[in-house]
Amino acid sequence: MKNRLIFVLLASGLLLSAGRVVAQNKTEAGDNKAVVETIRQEEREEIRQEAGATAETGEKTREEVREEIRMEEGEGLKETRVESVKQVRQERQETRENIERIREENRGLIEQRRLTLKEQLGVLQDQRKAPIVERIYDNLNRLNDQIVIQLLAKIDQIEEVLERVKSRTDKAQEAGLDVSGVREAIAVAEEAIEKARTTAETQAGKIYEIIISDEANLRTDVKPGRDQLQSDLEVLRQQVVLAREAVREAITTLAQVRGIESLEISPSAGETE
Amino acid sequence: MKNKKTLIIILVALVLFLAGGFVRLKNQRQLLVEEEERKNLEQEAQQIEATDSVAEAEALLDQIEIESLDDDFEVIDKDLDQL
Repeated sequence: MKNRLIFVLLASGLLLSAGRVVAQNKTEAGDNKAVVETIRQEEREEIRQEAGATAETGEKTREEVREEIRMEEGEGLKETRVESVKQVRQERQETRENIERIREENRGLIEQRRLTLKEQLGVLQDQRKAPIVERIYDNLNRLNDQIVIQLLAKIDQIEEVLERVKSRTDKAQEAGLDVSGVREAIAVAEEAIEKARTTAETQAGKIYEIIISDEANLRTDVKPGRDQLQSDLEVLRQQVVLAREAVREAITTLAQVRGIESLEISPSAGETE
Repeated sequence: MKNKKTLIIILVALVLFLAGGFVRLKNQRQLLVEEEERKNLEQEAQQIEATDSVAEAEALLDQIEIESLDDDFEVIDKDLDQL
Protein backbone atom coordinates (compact mmCIF):
# COMPACT_ATOMS: atom_id res chain seq x y z
CA MET A 1 0.00 0.00 0.00
CA LYS A 2 2.81 2.36 1.00
CA ASN A 3 4.79 1.46 -2.13
CA ARG A 4 1.81 2.09 -4.32
CA LEU A 5 1.28 5.52 -2.80
CA ILE A 6 4.92 6.44 -3.47
CA PHE A 7 4.60 5.27 -7.08
CA VAL A 8 1.42 7.24 -7.65
CA LEU A 9 2.99 10.38 -6.14
CA LEU A 10 6.09 9.94 -8.30
CA ALA A 11 3.98 9.47 -11.43
CA SER A 12 1.87 12.54 -10.65
CA GLY A 13 5.06 14.57 -10.15
CA LEU A 14 6.41 13.48 -13.52
CA LEU A 15 3.11 14.22 -15.24
CA LEU A 16 2.96 17.68 -13.73
CA SER A 17 6.51 18.54 -14.75
CA ALA A 18 5.87 17.28 -18.29
CA GLY A 19 2.76 19.46 -18.50
CA ARG A 20 4.64 22.47 -17.22
CA VAL A 21 7.43 21.99 -19.77
CA VAL A 22 4.96 21.74 -22.65
CA ALA A 23 3.01 24.80 -21.47
CA GLN A 24 6.21 26.80 -21.03
CA ASN A 25 7.39 25.87 -24.51
CA LYS A 26 4.15 26.91 -26.11
CA THR A 27 4.36 30.30 -24.44
CA GLU A 28 8.03 30.76 -25.34
CA ALA A 29 7.69 29.73 -28.95
CA GLY A 30 4.37 31.35 -29.70
CA ASP A 31 4.83 34.66 -28.00
CA ASN A 32 8.54 35.11 -28.57
CA LYS A 33 8.25 37.44 -31.56
CA ALA A 34 5.43 39.45 -30.01
CA VAL A 35 7.38 39.80 -26.75
CA VAL A 36 10.54 40.98 -28.55
CA GLU A 37 8.54 43.54 -30.54
CA THR A 38 6.73 44.78 -27.40
CA ILE A 39 10.02 45.18 -25.52
CA ARG A 40 11.52 47.11 -28.44
CA GLN A 41 8.53 49.44 -28.58
CA GLU A 42 8.63 49.96 -24.82
CA GLU A 43 12.33 50.77 -24.96
CA ARG A 44 11.76 53.32 -27.72
CA GLU A 45 8.93 54.92 -25.81
CA GLU A 46 11.08 55.02 -22.68
CA ILE A 47 13.93 56.77 -24.49
CA ARG A 48 11.49 59.30 -25.93
CA GLN A 49 9.92 60.00 -22.55
CA GLU A 50 13.30 60.23 -20.81
CA ALA A 51 14.55 62.61 -23.47
CA GLY A 52 11.48 64.82 -23.03
CA ALA A 53 11.57 64.79 -19.22
CA THR A 54 15.29 65.48 -18.88
CA ALA A 55 15.08 68.29 -21.40
CA GLU A 56 12.42 69.93 -19.26
CA THR A 57 14.23 69.54 -15.97
CA GLY A 58 17.59 70.49 -17.43
CA GLU A 59 19.29 67.32 -16.11
CA LYS A 60 20.87 66.72 -19.49
CA THR A 61 22.23 69.07 -22.02
CA ARG A 62 20.38 69.72 -25.26
CA GLU A 63 23.15 67.88 -27.07
CA GLU A 64 22.68 64.74 -24.96
CA VAL A 65 18.95 64.74 -25.63
CA ARG A 66 19.59 65.17 -29.34
CA GLU A 67 22.02 62.26 -29.23
CA GLU A 68 19.41 60.04 -27.57
CA ILE A 69 16.79 60.94 -30.16
CA ARG A 70 19.34 60.28 -32.88
CA MET A 71 20.03 56.87 -31.35
CA GLU A 72 16.31 56.09 -31.37
CA GLU A 73 15.96 57.18 -34.97
CA GLY A 74 18.95 55.04 -35.83
CA GLU A 75 17.28 52.03 -34.23
CA GLY A 76 14.14 52.71 -36.26
CA LEU A 77 16.15 52.91 -39.47
CA LYS A 78 18.02 49.74 -38.57
CA GLU A 79 14.73 47.93 -38.07
CA THR A 80 13.35 49.20 -41.40
CA ARG A 81 16.52 48.08 -43.19
CA VAL A 82 16.50 44.62 -41.58
CA GLU A 83 12.86 44.13 -42.57
CA SER A 84 13.56 45.29 -46.12
CA VAL A 85 16.55 42.93 -46.46
CA LYS A 86 14.46 40.10 -45.04
CA GLN A 87 11.69 40.69 -47.58
CA VAL A 88 14.14 40.85 -50.48
CA ARG A 89 15.83 37.60 -49.38
CA GLN A 90 12.44 35.87 -49.06
CA GLU A 91 11.32 36.93 -52.55
CA ARG A 92 14.65 35.82 -53.98
CA GLN A 93 14.38 32.45 -52.24
CA GLU A 94 10.81 31.97 -53.53
CA THR A 95 11.89 32.68 -57.12
CA ARG A 96 14.82 30.24 -56.84
CA GLU A 97 12.55 27.53 -55.43
CA ASN A 98 9.94 28.12 -58.15
CA ILE A 99 12.55 27.91 -60.89
CA GLU A 100 14.10 24.80 -59.37
CA ARG A 101 10.65 23.19 -59.23
CA ILE A 102 9.93 24.15 -62.87
CA ARG A 103 13.31 22.77 -64.00
CA GLU A 104 12.64 19.55 -62.14
CA GLU A 105 9.22 19.22 -63.82
CA ASN A 106 10.69 20.00 -67.25
CA ARG A 107 13.53 17.50 -67.03
CA GLY A 108 11.22 14.56 -67.79
CA LEU A 109 9.45 16.40 -70.63
CA ILE A 110 12.74 17.41 -72.24
CA GLU A 111 13.91 13.80 -72.15
CA GLN A 112 10.60 12.58 -73.55
CA ARG A 113 10.77 15.00 -76.51
CA ARG A 114 14.40 14.04 -77.01
CA LEU A 115 13.32 10.42 -77.51
CA THR A 116 10.62 11.50 -80.00
CA LEU A 117 13.25 13.49 -81.92
CA LYS A 118 15.59 10.50 -81.88
CA GLU A 119 12.86 8.38 -83.47
CA GLN A 120 12.35 10.98 -86.21
CA LEU A 121 16.09 11.15 -86.81
CA GLY A 122 16.30 7.36 -87.07
CA VAL A 123 14.77 7.44 -90.56
CA LEU A 124 17.33 9.89 -91.98
CA GLN A 125 19.43 8.49 -94.79
CA ASP A 126 22.44 10.60 -93.85
CA GLN A 127 22.95 9.45 -90.25
CA ARG A 128 25.91 11.85 -89.76
CA LYS A 129 23.35 14.64 -89.32
CA ALA A 130 21.38 12.94 -86.56
CA PRO A 131 23.86 13.64 -83.70
CA ILE A 132 24.17 17.26 -84.85
CA VAL A 133 20.40 17.81 -84.60
CA GLU A 134 20.34 16.07 -81.22
CA ARG A 135 23.18 18.30 -80.01
CA ILE A 136 21.33 21.42 -81.17
CA TYR A 137 18.20 20.27 -79.29
CA ASP A 138 20.25 19.72 -76.11
CA ASN A 139 22.05 23.04 -76.48
CA LEU A 140 18.81 24.97 -76.98
CA ASN A 141 17.38 23.80 -73.66
CA ARG A 142 20.71 23.98 -71.82
CA LEU A 143 21.29 27.53 -73.05
CA ASN A 144 17.81 28.60 -71.96
CA ASP A 145 18.50 27.26 -68.47
CA GLN A 146 21.96 28.80 -68.29
CA ILE A 147 21.01 32.29 -69.48
CA VAL A 148 17.92 32.47 -67.26
CA ILE A 149 20.11 31.71 -64.23
CA GLN A 150 22.75 34.26 -65.32
CA LEU A 151 20.15 36.99 -65.82
CA LEU A 152 18.51 36.17 -62.48
CA ALA A 153 21.87 36.76 -60.80
CA LYS A 154 22.03 40.16 -62.54
CA ILE A 155 18.53 40.97 -61.26
CA ASP A 156 19.72 40.15 -57.73
CA GLN A 157 22.73 42.47 -58.13
CA ILE A 158 20.50 45.28 -59.41
CA GLU A 159 18.22 44.78 -56.43
CA GLU A 160 21.21 45.02 -54.06
CA VAL A 161 21.97 48.47 -55.47
CA LEU A 162 18.35 49.51 -55.06
CA GLU A 163 18.56 48.45 -51.39
CA ARG A 164 21.35 51.01 -50.95
CA VAL A 165 19.23 53.70 -52.60
CA LYS A 166 16.37 52.84 -50.25
CA SER A 167 18.68 52.98 -47.24
CA ARG A 168 19.97 56.46 -48.11
CA THR A 169 16.43 57.63 -48.89
CA ASP A 170 15.21 56.46 -45.46
CA LYS A 171 18.04 58.41 -43.83
CA ALA A 172 17.17 61.50 -45.85
CA GLN A 173 13.53 61.22 -44.89
CA GLU A 174 14.48 60.91 -41.19
CA ALA A 175 16.53 64.08 -41.60
CA GLY A 176 13.47 65.89 -42.95
CA LEU A 177 14.51 66.10 -46.61
CA ASP A 178 11.90 65.88 -49.36
CA VAL A 179 12.33 62.46 -50.96
CA SER A 180 8.91 62.03 -52.59
CA GLY A 181 10.46 62.02 -56.08
CA VAL A 182 12.99 59.38 -55.04
CA ARG A 183 10.22 57.23 -53.54
CA GLU A 184 8.40 57.32 -56.88
CA ALA A 185 11.56 56.35 -58.76
CA ILE A 186 12.16 53.51 -56.26
CA ALA A 187 8.62 52.22 -56.82
CA VAL A 188 9.18 52.22 -60.60
CA ALA A 189 12.49 50.37 -60.15
CA GLU A 190 10.90 47.81 -57.82
CA GLU A 191 8.19 47.19 -60.39
CA ALA A 192 10.76 46.75 -63.17
CA ILE A 193 12.71 44.26 -61.03
CA GLU A 194 9.55 42.33 -60.23
CA LYS A 195 8.59 42.22 -63.91
CA ALA A 196 12.03 40.96 -64.94
CA ARG A 197 11.89 38.27 -62.26
CA THR A 198 8.44 37.11 -63.39
CA THR A 199 9.64 36.98 -67.00
CA ALA A 200 12.63 34.89 -65.89
CA GLU A 201 10.32 32.42 -64.12
CA THR A 202 8.13 32.13 -67.24
CA GLN A 203 11.18 31.70 -69.46
CA ALA A 204 12.56 28.95 -67.21
CA GLY A 205 9.38 26.97 -67.85
CA LYS A 206 9.75 26.95 -71.65
CA ILE A 207 10.93 23.92 -73.58
CA TYR A 208 12.33 24.23 -77.10
CA GLU A 209 11.61 21.34 -79.43
CA ILE A 210 12.57 20.40 -82.95
CA ILE A 211 10.10 18.72 -85.29
CA ILE A 212 11.59 17.12 -88.39
CA SER A 213 9.43 17.24 -91.52
CA ASP A 214 11.83 16.19 -94.23
CA GLU A 215 15.51 15.27 -94.50
CA ALA A 216 16.00 17.86 -97.23
CA ASN A 217 14.64 20.61 -94.93
CA LEU A 218 16.61 19.80 -91.79
CA ARG A 219 18.07 23.27 -91.41
CA THR A 220 14.67 24.88 -92.03
CA ASP A 221 13.11 22.64 -89.38
CA VAL A 222 15.74 23.38 -86.75
CA LYS A 223 16.23 27.13 -87.21
CA PRO A 224 12.81 28.34 -85.95
CA GLY A 225 13.51 26.79 -82.53
CA ARG A 226 16.87 28.53 -82.33
CA ASP A 227 15.36 31.89 -83.41
CA GLN A 228 12.47 31.54 -80.98
CA LEU A 229 14.90 30.94 -78.08
CA GLN A 230 17.01 33.95 -78.99
CA SER A 231 13.94 36.16 -79.32
CA ASP A 232 12.52 34.98 -75.95
CA LEU A 233 15.83 35.43 -74.16
CA GLU A 234 16.25 38.86 -75.71
CA VAL A 235 12.89 39.89 -74.22
CA LEU A 236 14.12 38.81 -70.78
CA ARG A 237 17.47 40.52 -71.30
CA GLN A 238 15.71 43.76 -72.20
CA GLN A 239 13.61 43.53 -69.02
CA VAL A 240 16.82 43.23 -66.98
CA VAL A 241 18.35 46.21 -68.81
CA LEU A 242 15.16 48.21 -68.07
CA ALA A 243 15.37 47.27 -64.38
CA ARG A 244 18.99 48.43 -64.25
CA GLU A 245 18.09 51.73 -65.93
CA ALA A 246 15.16 52.24 -63.54
CA VAL A 247 17.58 51.87 -60.61
CA ARG A 248 19.95 54.31 -62.31
CA GLU A 249 17.07 56.78 -62.56
CA ALA A 250 16.39 56.36 -58.83
CA ILE A 251 20.07 57.07 -58.06
CA THR A 252 19.99 60.19 -60.25
CA THR A 253 16.84 61.44 -58.52
CA LEU A 254 18.41 60.75 -55.13
CA ALA A 255 21.56 62.63 -56.09
CA GLN A 256 19.44 65.69 -56.84
CA VAL A 257 18.14 65.86 -53.25
CA ARG A 258 19.96 68.75 -51.62
CA GLY A 259 22.29 67.72 -48.79
CA ILE A 260 21.97 64.00 -49.44
CA GLU A 261 25.69 63.20 -49.32
CA SER A 262 26.34 64.99 -46.03
CA LEU A 263 23.76 62.91 -44.16
CA GLU A 264 25.11 60.93 -41.22
CA ILE A 265 22.43 58.97 -39.39
CA SER A 266 23.87 55.58 -38.64
CA PRO A 267 24.56 55.20 -34.90
CA SER A 268 23.46 51.57 -35.17
CA ALA A 269 26.29 50.72 -37.55
CA GLY A 270 28.68 48.24 -35.98
CA GLU A 271 26.16 47.05 -33.41
CA THR A 272 24.66 43.61 -33.18
CA GLU A 273 22.10 42.49 -30.66
CA MET B 1 -1.47 -6.85 -10.57
CA LYS B 2 -1.40 -3.61 -8.59
CA ASN B 3 2.32 -3.23 -9.20
CA LYS B 4 1.78 -3.75 -12.93
CA LYS B 5 -0.77 -0.92 -13.09
CA THR B 6 1.55 1.39 -11.18
CA LEU B 7 4.39 0.50 -13.49
CA ILE B 8 2.27 1.38 -16.54
CA ILE B 9 1.38 4.76 -15.00
CA ILE B 10 5.04 5.49 -14.31
CA LEU B 11 6.02 4.50 -17.85
CA VAL B 12 3.32 6.71 -19.38
CA ALA B 13 4.45 9.60 -17.20
CA LEU B 14 8.05 9.02 -18.19
CA VAL B 15 7.17 9.00 -21.88
CA LEU B 16 5.25 12.26 -21.46
CA PHE B 17 8.15 13.79 -19.58
CA LEU B 18 10.61 12.80 -22.29
CA ALA B 19 8.27 14.06 -25.00
CA GLY B 20 8.03 17.39 -23.16
CA GLY B 21 11.82 17.58 -23.00
CA PHE B 22 12.09 16.78 -26.69
CA VAL B 23 9.60 19.49 -27.64
CA ARG B 24 11.46 21.99 -25.49
CA LEU B 25 14.79 21.09 -27.09
CA LYS B 26 13.28 21.41 -30.56
CA ASN B 27 11.86 24.83 -29.76
CA GLN B 28 15.16 26.00 -28.33
CA ARG B 29 16.92 24.92 -31.52
CA GLN B 30 14.33 26.76 -33.59
CA LEU B 31 14.88 29.90 -31.51
CA LEU B 32 18.64 29.62 -32.01
CA VAL B 33 18.21 29.28 -35.78
CA GLU B 34 15.90 32.32 -35.83
CA GLU B 35 18.40 34.28 -33.75
CA GLU B 36 21.20 33.34 -36.14
CA GLU B 37 19.10 34.39 -39.16
CA ARG B 38 18.31 37.69 -37.48
CA LYS B 39 22.03 38.33 -36.85
CA ASN B 40 22.83 37.61 -40.49
CA LEU B 41 20.10 39.98 -41.66
CA GLU B 42 21.38 42.68 -39.33
CA GLN B 43 24.90 42.26 -40.66
CA GLU B 44 23.68 42.53 -44.24
CA ALA B 45 21.60 45.59 -43.35
CA GLN B 46 24.64 47.22 -41.72
CA GLN B 47 26.74 46.48 -44.77
CA ILE B 48 24.12 48.12 -46.98
CA GLU B 49 23.88 51.13 -44.66
CA ALA B 50 27.63 51.55 -44.63
CA THR B 51 27.82 51.64 -48.44
CA ASP B 52 24.70 53.54 -49.40
CA SER B 53 26.21 56.75 -50.77
CA VAL B 54 25.14 57.88 -54.22
CA ALA B 55 28.68 57.44 -55.56
CA GLU B 56 28.93 53.86 -54.27
CA ALA B 57 25.50 52.92 -55.61
CA GLU B 58 26.43 54.34 -59.02
CA ALA B 59 29.75 52.49 -59.04
CA LEU B 60 28.04 49.21 -58.12
CA LEU B 61 25.45 49.66 -60.85
CA ASP B 62 28.14 50.41 -63.44
CA GLN B 63 29.75 47.07 -62.61
CA ILE B 64 26.61 45.19 -63.63
CA GLU B 65 27.16 44.35 -67.27
CA ILE B 66 24.42 42.67 -69.25
CA GLU B 67 26.18 41.09 -72.18
CA SER B 68 24.71 40.52 -75.62
CA LEU B 69 23.42 37.01 -76.30
CA ASP B 70 25.07 36.61 -79.71
CA ASP B 71 28.16 34.79 -78.40
CA ASP B 72 26.01 32.24 -76.57
CA PHE B 73 24.41 31.14 -79.84
CA GLU B 74 27.71 30.61 -81.65
CA VAL B 75 27.89 26.89 -80.84
CA ILE B 76 24.34 26.29 -82.09
CA ASP B 77 24.97 28.33 -85.24
CA LYS B 78 28.09 26.30 -86.05
CA ASP B 79 26.05 23.10 -85.82
CA LEU B 80 23.28 24.65 -87.92
CA ASP B 81 25.80 25.40 -90.67
CA GLN B 82 26.64 21.72 -90.86
CA LEU B 83 23.06 20.73 -91.71
